[in-house]
Amino acid sequence: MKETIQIEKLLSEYAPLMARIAATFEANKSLQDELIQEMSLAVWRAFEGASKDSDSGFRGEASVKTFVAKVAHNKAVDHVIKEQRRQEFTHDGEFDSSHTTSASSSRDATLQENAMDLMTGLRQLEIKYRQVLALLLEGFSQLEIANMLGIKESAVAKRVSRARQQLTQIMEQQP
Amino acid sequence: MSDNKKALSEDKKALSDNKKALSEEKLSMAESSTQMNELDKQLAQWQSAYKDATPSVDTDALIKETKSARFKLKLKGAVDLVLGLAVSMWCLTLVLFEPLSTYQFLLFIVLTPIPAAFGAWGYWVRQKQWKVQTLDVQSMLAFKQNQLKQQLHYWKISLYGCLALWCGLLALAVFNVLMFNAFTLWGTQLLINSVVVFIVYRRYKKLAADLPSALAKIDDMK
Repeated sequence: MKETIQIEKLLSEYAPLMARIAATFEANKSLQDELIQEMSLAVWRAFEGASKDSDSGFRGEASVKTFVAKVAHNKAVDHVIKEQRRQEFTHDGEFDSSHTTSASSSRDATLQENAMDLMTGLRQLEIKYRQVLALLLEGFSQLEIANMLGIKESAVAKRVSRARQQLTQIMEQQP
Repeated sequence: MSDNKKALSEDKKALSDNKKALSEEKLSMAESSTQMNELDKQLAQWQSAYKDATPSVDTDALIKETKSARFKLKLKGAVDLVLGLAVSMWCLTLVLFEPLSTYQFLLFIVLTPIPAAFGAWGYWVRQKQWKVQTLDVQSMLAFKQNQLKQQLHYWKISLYGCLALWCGLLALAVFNVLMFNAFTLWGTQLLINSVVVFIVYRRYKKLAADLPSALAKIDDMK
């Protein structure tokens, strides 16, 4: 029971993080919601499993945030693979602005437009570039990203540099 | 004296070159520092825009749905396990308490552990599934590639199994048609099994044809 409450707290805290990751990989709102739920379930099961299994899980991670982000990213990549196989994966980059948290807030319209452009731009990047940039934008260090992706830190630096170049070009092309 | 002057003038020139190089270096450092600042500024802007683009999430509903999905998953695992055990128990009851012929007895003895073992294996696989999601992305992608290869391998084995059964059935059909002229019964059975073999073959060929591109797509993500 105590563990359930702990996991519920964890999901509440990291739901926005998972939602951002889902939005980075999926443009369709209903599929995004499905993906967030799949991520939550995966995080729950991983957290539960890790609590029982002392050899693996999040104990070795730098932080719970890293653990959640890794599980969420894995689920997102899994989702992309499945959608590719179903040949239903949308590349139209549409973004439903009515579902952003900023819609209800008093932030100005320009800021919101920038946010939409960025998400749309991110979704146009190759998965490997999208991943590093999304994690960097979440505030993870290059070392943390390297551990999450299972690649060298130097490879992360290269990918970040190329991803930034590509995203800048995409953002400049956007009307 | 003239040599000294010449050396002095060369020293001065070298000093002036050094100064020039130093000032160019400073300029380039200043430029790179400006560039870095611009990059940092751009990253900060993107970070803020990224956070602003957070889709709204009803966390209470999310937790409720996740709980329900988790319960359904657990229930499905338990039902599979219980069903497997129940079928095995039924087979065991037949073996222990029913009057069976030698052939039936041997058949049920062989069949008894299979459903329970399959149910237990499925339950064990489900229990360990979470581990894949905690792997790093590269390992997870390698796992996915391996899974696709294994899937093709299973379909290949299924195809061979189906073909072996079909050949056995053909032999029986030929025997029964020649000996007892039971053409309709055995012909129908052979036809139905041919359809099964054809479907398994088509599925295997489709998976085999799709495998290289599926693997390449995953490779692109690495």
